[in-house]
Order: sequence, then C-alpha cells, then structure tokens
Amino acid sequence: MKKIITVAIVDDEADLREHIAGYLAAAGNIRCVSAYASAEEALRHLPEDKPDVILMDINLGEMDGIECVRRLTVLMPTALVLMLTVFEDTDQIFRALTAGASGFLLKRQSPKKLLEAIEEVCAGGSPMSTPIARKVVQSFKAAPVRGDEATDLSERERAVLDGLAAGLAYKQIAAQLGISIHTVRNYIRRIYEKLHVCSRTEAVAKFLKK
Amino acid sequence: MHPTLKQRIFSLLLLGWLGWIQGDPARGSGFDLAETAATLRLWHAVDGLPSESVTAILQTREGFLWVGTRAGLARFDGVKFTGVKLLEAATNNPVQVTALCEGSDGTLWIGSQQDGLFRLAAGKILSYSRAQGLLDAGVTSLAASQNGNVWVGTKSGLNRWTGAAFQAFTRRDGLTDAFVSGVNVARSGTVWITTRAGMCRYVDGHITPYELQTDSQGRRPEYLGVYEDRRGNFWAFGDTYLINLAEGKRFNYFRSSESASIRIWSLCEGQDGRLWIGTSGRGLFCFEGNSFQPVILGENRWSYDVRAICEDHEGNLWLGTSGGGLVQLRPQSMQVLPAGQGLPAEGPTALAQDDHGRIYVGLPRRGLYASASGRFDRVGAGLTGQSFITSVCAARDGTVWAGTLGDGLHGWLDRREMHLTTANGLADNAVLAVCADRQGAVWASTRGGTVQRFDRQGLVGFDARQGWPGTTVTALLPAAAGGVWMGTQDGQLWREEKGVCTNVATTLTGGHYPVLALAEGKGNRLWLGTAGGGLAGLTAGGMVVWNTHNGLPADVVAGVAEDPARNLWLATSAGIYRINHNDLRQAGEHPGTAPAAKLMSDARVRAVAGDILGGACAVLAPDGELWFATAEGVFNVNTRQSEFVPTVFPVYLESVAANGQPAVSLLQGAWWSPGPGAPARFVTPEQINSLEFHFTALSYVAPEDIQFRHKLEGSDPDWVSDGEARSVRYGRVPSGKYRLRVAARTAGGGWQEAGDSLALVVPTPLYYQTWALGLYGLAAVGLVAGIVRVVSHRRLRFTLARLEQQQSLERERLRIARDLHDEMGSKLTKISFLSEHAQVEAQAAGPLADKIESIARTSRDLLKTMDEIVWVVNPHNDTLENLASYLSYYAVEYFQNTSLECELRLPSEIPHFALSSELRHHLFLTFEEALNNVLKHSAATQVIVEMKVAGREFELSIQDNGRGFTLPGAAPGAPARPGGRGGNGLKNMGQRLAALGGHCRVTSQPGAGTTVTLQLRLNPKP
Repeated sequence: MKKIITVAIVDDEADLREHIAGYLAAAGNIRCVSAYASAEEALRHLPEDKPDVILMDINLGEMDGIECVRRLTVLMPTALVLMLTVFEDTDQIFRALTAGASGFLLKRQSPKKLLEAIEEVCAGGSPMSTPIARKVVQSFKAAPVRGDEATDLSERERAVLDGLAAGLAYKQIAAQLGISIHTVRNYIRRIYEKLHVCSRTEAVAKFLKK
Repeated sequence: MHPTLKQRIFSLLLLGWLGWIQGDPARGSGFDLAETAATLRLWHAVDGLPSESVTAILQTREGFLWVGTRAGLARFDGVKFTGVKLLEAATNNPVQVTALCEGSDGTLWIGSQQDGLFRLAAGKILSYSRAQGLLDAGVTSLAASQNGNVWVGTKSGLNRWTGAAFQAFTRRDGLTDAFVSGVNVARSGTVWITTRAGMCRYVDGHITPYELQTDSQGRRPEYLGVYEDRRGNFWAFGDTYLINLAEGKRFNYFRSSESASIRIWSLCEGQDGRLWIGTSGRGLFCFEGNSFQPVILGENRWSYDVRAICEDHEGNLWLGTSGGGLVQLRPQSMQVLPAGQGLPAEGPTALAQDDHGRIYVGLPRRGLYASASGRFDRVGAGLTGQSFITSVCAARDGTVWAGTLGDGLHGWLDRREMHLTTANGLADNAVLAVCADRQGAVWASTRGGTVQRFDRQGLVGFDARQGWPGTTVTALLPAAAGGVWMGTQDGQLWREEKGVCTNVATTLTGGHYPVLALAEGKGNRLWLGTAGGGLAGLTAGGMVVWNTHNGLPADVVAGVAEDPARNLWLATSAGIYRINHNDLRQAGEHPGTAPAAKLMSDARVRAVAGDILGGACAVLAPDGELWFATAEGVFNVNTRQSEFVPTVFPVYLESVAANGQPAVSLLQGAWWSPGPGAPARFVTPEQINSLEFHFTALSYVAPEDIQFRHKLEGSDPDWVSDGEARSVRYGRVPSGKYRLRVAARTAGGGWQEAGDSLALVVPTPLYYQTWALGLYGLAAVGLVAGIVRVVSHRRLRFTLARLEQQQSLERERLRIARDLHDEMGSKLTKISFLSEHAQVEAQAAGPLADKIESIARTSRDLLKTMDEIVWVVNPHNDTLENLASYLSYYAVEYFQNTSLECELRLPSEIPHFALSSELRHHLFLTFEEALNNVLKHSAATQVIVEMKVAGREFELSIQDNGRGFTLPGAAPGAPARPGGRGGNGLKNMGQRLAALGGHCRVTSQPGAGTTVTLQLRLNPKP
C-alpha cells in the first residue's frame, strides 16, 4: 500500500479550505491533518502537526504566505510547501520559491492537478517553467559566488538552467547535454534545493540577529 | 528619523548599590544583571530640543510630553519637538520655563523665570502678570489641587488661582519668607510651602510654620521642596538634606560636608513605588527597599544635574538635565540575554540554580556556565565540548551536576571535578534528567528506564521491589513535602517517598506525551508540562489539562514556573506565555477551557513534540527573577518590574497645510479639553495644489516603530499605508468634501484610530464649474466604461493606455490589478472549485453533470482571461523581460493539450527596456492572434516562438511547419489562406505593429509553413 501523505492547508477562505480538504479526503492516500486561516496560526501549529505537504495560499491576511514559508523553513526545514495562487504572477511565485516553497499551483487548474502536484512534489520533482527559470538565472547571477558547494550552481546545473531559461524543453536539454530526462529532473531538483539553502541561510541569519 | 539618534541609543545597565560611595565594590555582587536593564536615549538641541537645559517635564492626560527648557517650551511626541510660542514676537529672549503643572480642568500651566505665568487652554495661550494679581513675574513652582485651585510659588510670595482671580499670600499671612522655592499639594489636601527660610503648611485657610531640623552641618541649608509619596511618606528636601517627615528619619546619605553639596532638585515616584531623586552633581538616585541606590548608567555614573524627573503613562522615566538635554530611561523587564555577558550565542538545554541564587546554564555542546558578578563564566573544564548536556542541578552541598547524552554525569564542587559513568555504577551513560532532593541526594534518570539515587553513602537503584515499573523518566523534581516527583515518557506522574514509588496520575487526555517540566505551584498544585500534550495541573481535587484543543497556544510546554505574584509562566514551542493569577484562580470554574495566556516573548523552547530531554527550562530565582532556556538563548524576566506593551495609545491629527502655507494646528478641538471636542473642520483655499497633513501617536516605548495609515475619504478608496511617516502630502485635490482619518499601531498591536477625523472642504470655484463638470462627466464615463470593460472586455486596455499620462494612473493600475486579483480572482476560484466538487458528487453523466462541467470550464476560462487582464494592468510588468516571460508562459500554456508542440528560443539575457502598457497590450494581442492562426489554420505539428534583441531592435517570430498559404500579391493559383478571418487577422497585426512604429512581416509558401515576424524599435531606458 502507498504511504499516506499528510497535508495541511493554509488559506484564509474558509469554503476553499473545506473543499480542498474534502477533495483530498476523497483521494485515499492523502490525509488532510490541519487547516489554518492565517500565517500566524499556521506558524504556531504546523511545526507540531508535522504534515508532509503544506498547501499555502500566497495572499493571506496580515502576514502573507511567502513570509510564512520563509519562517516555516527555519522551523521545519523538511516540509514541502506548495503555493496556491490565483494567477500566474512570476514575481510572486519566484519569491515564494526562494523563500522555500517547493512548487506552486494555480488555483484555477482543476483539483485533479492538485492531487498530481502533491504526489509529484512528494516524489521529489517539481517542474520549472521558463519564466521561473529565467528568474532563477537572474537570482544566481545577482548572488555573490560564495565558493560553497551547497549554494553555488555546478557547471551542469547551470547548463540545465540556461537551457530552461532559453525556453528549451526537458527533452531538448537532455539531448543537448547527452543525459537522460530523469537526470535533467534531478538537476532541477538540486537547483531548487540550492535556491532554498541560500534563502534558508539568510532566513536563519535573520532569525539569529533578532 | 534622525540618523544620529539611533546611534545614540545604547543599552546600558543600571547596577544597583555599586560601592563608589562606600568604596566597597564587592558589596551587592548579587546577580541583578538584567533586573534593572534599561535602554537609555538622549535628545539634544540638534534633535529639536529648544535648549540643552531641561527644567521641567510633564505628561498631560492627552498623552503629550511637555518639555520646559531655559529657552522655551516644547511639545514632544517621541519623535519630534514642536515649539510652543508663549510670548508674541515682541521679545527676542526666549521664555525660561521653571515649572509645569496640569490643572484639574486639563489646562497646562507654565511658570517662567521672569515672564510671569502662562496657561494653555483649548489650544490658546493666556498670559498672567502683575496686572492680573500675580505677585512676581518670577515663578518658581506650581501645584494643582483637586478642587481646581492652582498654587503658584513666586519670588515674592504665594498665589492661588481660584478659577477667576489670583489670591495672594505673603509674610503677613504667615509665610516664613517671601521667596517661595516649592509648593506641593498633598493627598490630604494640605498644601506644603517651602520658602528659602523654612517650611510651612496651609491648612483650613491658615498658613502655619513647620519646624524642621535639617541637621545640616556648616551653613544654613536651602529649603527646596516637599513631596508626598503613595505610602504616605513626606519627603522634605533641599541642598544637603533629604528627610522623611512621616518617620522623622533623616538620610545622612545626602548629608555633605563637602563644599559642593548634593542639592536635591527633583523627586518623582514611579508606578512601581520606586522613588527617583534627581540631584545636582551626583546624578540620579533610586530609593527602594529603604535604601538609596545611585543609578549608574553604563561604565560612567551620570554626571549631569538632574533638574526634572517625570514618569510617563508607559513607565518610561524622563530626566531633564542641565546641559545634557533630555534623557529617556526605558526599563526593560524582559530580554534574551545579549551577547557579551559571557554566554555563547546558542540556545541552552537546561537551567538550574543553587541555594545562593546562582544560575547555571547548560549548553548542549558548549559546556556549563554559571553566573557571577553580572556575567556568566564557564565551569568545569572536564566536560568536553562534545558532551551534549541534557540537564543540570545543584545539590545542597554546593556540587553542581550536569547530565549528558553518552558521557554520564559530571559534577563540580569548588575546584574538584567528579565523573560518574557506567564504570562506577551509573546504569547508562545517557542521562535524561537530574535533580537534587532536599536530603542532599542526587537523582538521575537514564535511558532504559532506570532511576538512581546517590549520596555520600553510595548509589541506589529502583526496581519493581520499590514499585518502580522501569518506565523512562524524562523529568525529575524534588517534592516540597519530601521525596521526588517523576514524570515519564508516556505521560505518567510518579512519586517516590521513603524509598517507595507510587503512581500518582496516569496519562494526560488525548495521548501519552513525555513529561518535560514539573513545577510545584501555590495551593498544593503540581504543574506538568508535556512535549505535545500541553499543560496539566494536578491538585487533590483532580487534574486539568490545557492544550491547543481548549485554548492553550501551544502543546509543547518545556518550562513551567510560578512567579511571586502567582502568575504562571510557560516556556513553550510558541513562545513564552504568562497566565494571570486571577485567570488561573478562576480557571477552576471552567475546567475544560484554558485561561487566557498572554504572549510575553517570541522566544521558543528547543523542545518539539515527543521530545524526551527534560532539563529544566524555567527557573524562579529567590529574588523574583525568572530564567528560561529558549532556542534563542537565556531569557530573563524581572517579574517585579511591570512589563508594558503599549497597544492602546492616543492618535492625533496634528496639523494641515494647504499650498505650502503655514500649518494650521488641528489639536485645539481634540486636545486640551477633556472628552471629545467638536470634530475639526477645515476649509481650504479654492484651488489646491498641495495639501499636507501631519499626525502623531503618543507611545514613547518605541515611537519610531509606530506604523501609520490614513484614508482621505472622498479620494482614497481604501486605507493607505504611511509606514513610519507621520505626514502625508496630496497634490492637486479637486473641489469637494473629504474626510481624513488616521490610524496607528505598534508592532503586534491593532490599529488605533484617531478619535477625531478631519472634515475637509475644498470649495468649487465658480469659473471652474462648467469645466470641472465636464471633467467629472468624462471621468465618470471613463470609470463606468472601465469597470464594465475590466470585467467583460479587453478593450479596457485602450482606455488605460489613454489614461496613462495621468500621474496617479500607475497606482490606480496597481490597485485594479490587486482588486481583480484578490477579490474577483478568489471568488472565481471558489466557483471553479465548487463546481468541480459538485461534479464529483453528481457522479452520473446526466444533464446536470454537463451543466456543472460547463460552469467549471467557464469559470476557468474567465480566470484565464482575467489573468491576462491583470498582467496587462499591473505596472510591475512594464519591462521587456517580463513581457518575454509572459509571452513564453502564454505560448506554452496555449498549446498545452493540443497536438502542437511548442518550442521556445529566448536569449539567455534580455536587457532592461521599459515598455508602456499600451505597447505590451498591442504586442500581446498581435502575438495571440498569431498563435491563434497557427492553431486554427496552419495544421502544423510544431511551432517555434523566438525572441531576439539586438541593440534597440526587438524581434518576435512565430514559425510553424504547417501547410502555409499564398500571400496576397504572390503568384496566383496557390491556395489562399483559408478562413475569412485570416486575411483580416494579418491586416490587423500589421496595423497594430505600425501603430507602435514597428512592422509585422509574414512569410509563407504553400506546404512550407508560415513565419510571422514582429519587429519593433524600443525606446532606450527612461
């Protein structure tokens, strides 16, 4: 039997929370363990709930979902966060990703996509679109070279990222670099991780300073 | 804020009773490090203070702080000094303020050195001199009585203001001297009058002399004043003396045989009962617990004369100095110990204290630290850096024991070190908890459920013979009544007494969580903090359990302590909380609900749910201080000092200025007359080019962190955030009626709105009316059309493009984008989700399911359309890079779920170009048209979207491998582009690009695909 994936929802729309929870409940291998209406509440309880995946609305009340993710990454570094957003806003999505989110989902996509995305992110893969890749390229360009393997991109990772930013599909990149699509996915996952490590280091530093 | 101001903020310590006077520095080395920790701030002339010599300070009931100086009076709101003009410009010399007092009617009285007396009422200054019956233009002191009288001490006698006139008292009426140096109205109503030659009292209409032996040596002392404190002590003070008249006790401390005497300038009683004494030459003193302590600020004692002292409503202490400006002392009763006091910057795991009040801090891999003389020092060299300390305790004989994970127990007594491991009898080297009982024995619980007790006689283990089941013990506490409390990993509480173990309570509701903390409370209550199950309180009558299910903010409680006032403090995974003792007492009435817990600090404990390391995380020291071990460091609370987190404070609209004219004060109405005044109304000139509002909020704890927002009703659709700015400026404001509302909040507090809003009228000039009406008409039509189009039609973009010149458009666009995004977007999402859900429930493929499916699809389409609108409207996207990103995203999504394969070719870097929304809009529509043609007509299997930038030239091409067509004007006979729309579409694209100053080139041949190339010359960076 498949492992049960525990999910928590953070969204200020009560109806939506319920419907997502209801939808997830019907899925079988996914269990919704908690739902919170605000980032503050989520920060207080999620570290104890320890869900596998957190569905986080970007637009919350006082504290927005991105800031919430930033703080959560410090409190629960292994949590997988999927951002929920109404519109494709590259800036916001990118900020969420650097804050530590593992992927995003447009709310207008059908709920079936939600299930796919949850399973995908648990399996370790989170697709990277061209606009996001371009943002990532810019961010790594802007960041100082730290001389640190954990945060600097390797040559191969950079090649994959450049390919994505130039609009190439996974299989085109795979062909160009002479690697398999599976390896491309692995590289993408590592790029995400490095993005997170950078931001987490900053977040931790920020926390320590407080 | 003034940059130098922040630089001048520095933390310092007020160390009590340091022996610079006694010459005994060793005295009082007790650890009162953070108990008096305070923040000091200074304000000087460069910050706007009228003079470096501050002579009087007063906070009036409206919340403003009034600062009297040698060069005039200023109103202070924590950020800015506003001068108050007392005299008309006749004289160049500023008024030297000597005294301030607030009358019972709320008016402010101001005494001056030589310019008489002033009164500030309803925003107006009234001036009093000899002509009105004042005895002397030199005012020395002021005091208000409950019955509305104001007593005025002058250089030539005493005046009483009765509400209409001044009554005079001179030597003839019994004054010991004409020169009145101080006047004070006691709680009893007695008026104490100090003259240069002695003291007298005014009781029942008569002035009688009061004999006072000051016992001062040498010359005759100068009598300066009397103060009655809340305990009923009467303090008489002057140069060389301070006497408690109630006890007849003279404090020799201030007797001075030196020629430079200690003159006592000012006395002020704090809300916590401490008495502050300002002296000349020797700075500030604090009287507490029947002794005086000089207040030492940092390394240097305070050398300025303290002329005036005032404690504000938030507990800040304000000092007026001669030559040193204005000083604010803010007591900090809680803090994470700052670096530089000996502790490494790491979260400790365990705390302990010995009989001498010494605090021990165990850091997981950094060893053990003990407090001494205001700082922490490492103890025990034998403990290697690798030992993970889990718990610490101090035994009666002075030995300190630290339990480690894997390295057994380490003990220190004086310089002797002990090490207890499996080699000498310990059951396991992983020690989870230690405690010292009242007989002097030490208890240790180790992995595997063993509990051992040892003293000088040896080591004793517990097993089934003593009733011990062998459960892992995670917390140990010596019981006040003898024996030891034991909390276990599965949430049970056991008690050892006289060698026998008994189970006291089994489990907490809702699961078996490890017990992390044990504390004995008042009323024979035992508190159990657990790792995941919240807090349990056990009494003879039963047990209450509080956790997140019934209102406690956290489920992991790693530290519990009751302070001397019987408030309960919890160190939790969500921060440090305090439950008020009253709430605690009443909690018994609703046992199923946790009493309100107040968040005192965000500092969280390290423990997580299920944790089994039960080192004490909370300790109450005998001096009333609380110590907590948190992930952020050692957290110290001085429970004797009242903490103050201002969340409620007054907010005022201060002034308005139109067209750069001098500001008009708005404070008259709201301020200076108790109760809400008439709402302020301001009529501006007819034509407004600029309108500037100033506002303020009166909290002095962290004034520069106060956030403001405002809303000009009639112009702003919503609140506009001002951040920390205390003013806002509007440009051209059309005629009409407006209302300005202002609100402020401190970090973590709610919005406090100014009690009075400002009604604002911008009159309509006659000659403008027709023109203005036309404009309104136009604007209204534009707005209505806009709203309709935003929702239904893309042509709004044209309207927006046309409106672009207007200054406010960008903001408006952002707002529209946000509104569409937040409001409509979330509602539509809901529809989409609901219909999807309904579809699942409807199951069967009936007509209903079809309709629901249709709703779902329509709402998704609508969301997509709105996505495009939002993208166009949002000014953040006005760059080429964003355009490229969006077009590529759009293309990929457009061909998703079609048989076409879309390939993107983008330059890896796109230089920065600003694009107008008009340009983005046209390019986008052209692009969409091109994609549409490919999908509808080309029958292609692949499409390549390519973008190129060379210098200022931008090229976007859409190339398909479809059937192609004959271009108009090409050789006849080839198939024309199918579909009526095709030709028009091409023409449209050409026209659009031409309007932008570019071209659209189409190349195609039957059977060889089509390429549409859009070329555009971009404007250089703006």
